[in-house]
Amino acid sequence: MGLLAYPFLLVLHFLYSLTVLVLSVWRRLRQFPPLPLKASRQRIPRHLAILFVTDSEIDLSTTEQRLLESVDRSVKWCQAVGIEQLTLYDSDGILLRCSESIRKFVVSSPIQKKELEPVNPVINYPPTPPLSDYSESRSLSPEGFGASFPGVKITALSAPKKQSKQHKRRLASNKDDLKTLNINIVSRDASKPFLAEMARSLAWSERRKQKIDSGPSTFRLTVPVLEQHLEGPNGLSAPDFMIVHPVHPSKYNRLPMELHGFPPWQIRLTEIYCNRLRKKYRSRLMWFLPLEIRSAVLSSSLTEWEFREALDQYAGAEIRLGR
Amino acid sequence: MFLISFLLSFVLHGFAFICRKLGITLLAQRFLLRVLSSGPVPQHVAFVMDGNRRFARMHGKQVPEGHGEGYLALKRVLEICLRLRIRCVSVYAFAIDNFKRSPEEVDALMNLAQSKLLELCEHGELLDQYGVKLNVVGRTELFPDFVQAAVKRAEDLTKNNLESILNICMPYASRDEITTAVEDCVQEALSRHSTTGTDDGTNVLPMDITEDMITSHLMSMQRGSPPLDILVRTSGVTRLSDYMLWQCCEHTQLHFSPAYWPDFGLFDFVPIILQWQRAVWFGRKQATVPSTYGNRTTHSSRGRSVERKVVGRRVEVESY
Repeated sequence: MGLLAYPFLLVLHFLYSLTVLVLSVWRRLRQFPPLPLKASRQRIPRHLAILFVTDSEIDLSTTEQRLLESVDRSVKWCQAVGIEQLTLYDSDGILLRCSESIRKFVVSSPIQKKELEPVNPVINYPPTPPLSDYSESRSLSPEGFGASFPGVKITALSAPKKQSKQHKRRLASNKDDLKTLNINIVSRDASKPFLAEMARSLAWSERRKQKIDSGPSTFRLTVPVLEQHLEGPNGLSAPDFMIVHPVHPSKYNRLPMELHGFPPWQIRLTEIYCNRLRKKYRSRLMWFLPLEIRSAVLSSSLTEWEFREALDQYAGAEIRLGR
Repeated sequence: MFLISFLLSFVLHGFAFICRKLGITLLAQRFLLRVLSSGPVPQHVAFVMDGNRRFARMHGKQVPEGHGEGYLALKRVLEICLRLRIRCVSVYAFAIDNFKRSPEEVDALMNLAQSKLLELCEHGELLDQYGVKLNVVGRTELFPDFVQAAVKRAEDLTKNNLESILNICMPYASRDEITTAVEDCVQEALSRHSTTGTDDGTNVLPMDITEDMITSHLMSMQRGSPPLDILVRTSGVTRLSDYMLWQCCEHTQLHFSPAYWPDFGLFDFVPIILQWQRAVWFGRKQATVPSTYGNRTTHSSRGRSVERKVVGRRVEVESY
């Protein structure tokens, strides 16, 4: 029966493709432009995460260029809208390798007033663990001082949106006048591997405690304690909202969305957005072009349309927290 | 008299027409499922059954009635999955946070859980018909005693079923599941470390806790569930709400369906399966075989001959 049903399955897929094509065209014709970037919305995320999905069909240099463009734009938009924290994720760590470039254009971002002091973004790198030896008598764990966060944190300062006449005359040396955007750059290492490393760190702490107390005790772990370790100062706080942006939307949007290893603990209540209509069939029309040209044409940076549409979706979402 | 006969005849003919229609519809549905199951199907699908209360309010019903409709939807969708030969289905029935709801609603849900759990597992019913093992995954000690007794009875009734698994997650929270898994891993690592300690008396062995170990200690995985392939959230909400965060953050397709859960049916699920099949055919997904349940073999990619090698619980399909 399986073999006999297979031709019917192919027919079904053909009909489904037609239906999806017609619906996509209909939705594109019917979609309304999103609200302007600085429009007043019911709520704005305090912590935004952008999950960049790379693709092997796009060459590395084009991917890096698109990612850096996207990061540059998203930093400016976040500052314009008033988002306080931005997490940038890609599973392969391309953004981490480009963190120096990101730091440079965050520094060189235009600031509204010339009188402002030069801004020195603070980069917090994970602490270098001490040299370890595996002696039993050592008071420190072989893992170091606990699990170190495998990411880069950058703090960007920008001038506030509106300034009164008094501010125009005053040097903006007072940091209270400046808005802070905390940027986290992470990869898959900050996801399940970091949680495993945290577990090893907890095991070592408990081992030391058992030695000091000279007796076995049952290790107990609660959700708030693990939350403090994973979302505390040495971790990554939970984003309110996530934008999934594929570098190759034409291929990605024909298949279902995934999360590509984003840190699982932090996405408990994160709203997720992905624009599924962009460039959906473009790669089908360009299959004959050489790969290098296709990479340039088919790859995509984050657009303002997506960003505004995402903010509109977030503003309209309803939170119930179990009730 | 003539008028009455005419009206009666009209009604009976109409009734016969509807019966015939339903019969054809049912046959067509079963044929559709048979056609779909001839291609690759996922091993493990999870549903967040959201929207019962909004469904009830929309139809002018009481909230417990909405949950009752949700149960009927569960049976309907479960049968669809079993006919498609999906070996593991997980559903998010009750969150730990849901205890914050009104006492009346919580009581109604507890009574529903007790009656419907046993109804599902009775002889001749769905789980018995398809050989489904029921696992209730979550902090069941938080339930009242009568619900705990129903859970135990339901699990005992189905413990010898080997064809498929139904995980009913209640009361469940993914962070709680991850924390418990980490706690178990740490306890295990400590007990291994205290016995072995050093390799030759000089070098301290590292604490051997890996992400795979944490995965294997998750409550749902410990009951034999394969890796999660698809997660479906209904009612148009686009977040995970503390459900299977560890399992679905990688290699899992996410679908946010606009339908409320009581309305979710075959034609909402068919596109999800079709998209899964395309992902397998176009190389973005690997077809999986169960490690412990069922005797299915992997479906070949586009009918071409393939060579399979088993890697862990997944089968890598290489086509010639």
